[in-house]
Amino acid sequence: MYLTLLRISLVEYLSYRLNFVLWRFRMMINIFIPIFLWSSVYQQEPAKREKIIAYFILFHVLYSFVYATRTHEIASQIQSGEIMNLLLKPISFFRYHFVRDLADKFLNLFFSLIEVAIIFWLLKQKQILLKYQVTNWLIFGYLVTVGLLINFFTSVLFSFIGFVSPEYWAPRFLFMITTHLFSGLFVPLDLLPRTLFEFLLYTPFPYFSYWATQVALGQSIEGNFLFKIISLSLFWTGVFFLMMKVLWNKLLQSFSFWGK
Amino acid sequence: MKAWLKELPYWLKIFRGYSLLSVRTVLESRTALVLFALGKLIRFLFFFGILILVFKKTSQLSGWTSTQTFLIFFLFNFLDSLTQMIFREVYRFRSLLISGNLDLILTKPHPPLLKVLLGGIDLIDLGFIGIFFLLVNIFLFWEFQGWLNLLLFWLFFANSLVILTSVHLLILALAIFTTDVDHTIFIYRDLFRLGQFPVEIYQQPLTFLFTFVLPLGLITILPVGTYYWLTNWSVAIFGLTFSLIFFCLSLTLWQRALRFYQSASS
Repeated sequence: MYLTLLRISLVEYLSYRLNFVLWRFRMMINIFIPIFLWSSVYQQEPAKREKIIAYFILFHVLYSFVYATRTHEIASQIQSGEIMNLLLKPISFFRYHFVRDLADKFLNLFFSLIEVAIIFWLLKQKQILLKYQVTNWLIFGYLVTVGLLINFFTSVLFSFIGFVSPEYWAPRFLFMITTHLFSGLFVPLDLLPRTLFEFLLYTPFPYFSYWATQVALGQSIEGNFLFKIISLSLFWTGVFFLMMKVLWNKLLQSFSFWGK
Repeated sequence: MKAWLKELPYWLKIFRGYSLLSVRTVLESRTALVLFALGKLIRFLFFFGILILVFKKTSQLSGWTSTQTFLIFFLFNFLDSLTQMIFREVYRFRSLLISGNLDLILTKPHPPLLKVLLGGIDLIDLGFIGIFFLLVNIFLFWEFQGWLNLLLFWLFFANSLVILTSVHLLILALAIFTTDVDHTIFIYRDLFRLGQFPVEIYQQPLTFLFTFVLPLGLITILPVGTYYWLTNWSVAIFGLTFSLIFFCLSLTLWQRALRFYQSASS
């Protein structure tokens, strides 16, 4: 059933091709700022320049995959009552949205790879260095999964604001801005002042894509620090999952709608 | 021209009326107002921090000194907030189009642009405008280049406003032809955001594209460039000519679009 849902979602998203292409065009423009800015900064240091370009290119691909979601639509579905149509069906609400998100993620991933080819051409970049180590790739897989889950849970949580207020866009906008800025989209977090970097470790932001990118680029992370990253990412995944479940049960009990 | 001047007080009165209504609407959702403003403030502070970080690692950014780069950055933010405040109604144009409610504006006895372009003054950016204006002036006087340069700076600032007005007119016109304004306005916003740093960082062929085709360089770089005598006069004259032609073309296209318009309700 979920495979059919995945296929239908893909077909549905692809039927709005122009919208999707324009959306990806915007994403590509956004990545221009950090890539070219930092590339200019390290103009005289080719090794550092290459490293930072590799970081942003890989981050762009991972972030496109991890951050892609359609769960923001849940808020408007709650407000319009459209959510009732899904609640009455014999299907898990969360799994339904997760599968639809997966379809969106695959499409975004595919388009981000095309964008990377364009960026490579613009930068006259030949390759980026990825370290092929099995242990790294296992950790990488774990970090991508955790990023994906944190994004899903937080996005659904922000949509739940639709249960209590019609002004659900403002809090989501604030969270989206904060995530974009502090997840490593515009600056690798280790370039930030030490205190800010250490503070950010305890927030959910670096676990969207930052650590997955660093691991894929072969940054050596010592045992204790790796344990800290794994524990904190697991902690945030658990916290957001529980919040989502508890709030869902509570809000659904008080939710009512007429005319559907 | 004479008739236009005669109508001006009447238009200003209508503009004032629309603005008051818009401000009241925004004030109805104060929490959203605060959260949006907070988001914008965080974004500004973050990019300001990035620039500080950049100049800890290098003394120049593609040939621009730190003071010049900060001036470009503040000027961008000033222009961005100003145009977002004045032209906010453009963001709501699509719903007018697809619902057919544009008919109600077209039948009113005033130019439709008074509503669809200027009729939705936004409060969120009002506070930021004051701060950015102050910061631009502080950085202009930090390395004061002379009164003539200052005059040129504000002249090319006005030129940038003409270009940005033309862009919004163009978006409105295209919306009537395609019924899609959301992507166009956000693509414009994303492209404009590239202008918060010197366009030279984007390397060729993008620098050429962002200066002469998509006029980002003309908007943020030209005022600062002329203030520091860094801009070639031929580029400055090109900038002035470009904005004039672009404005006339956008206005003509808007008028054509209105003739093309078919009401959604009819």
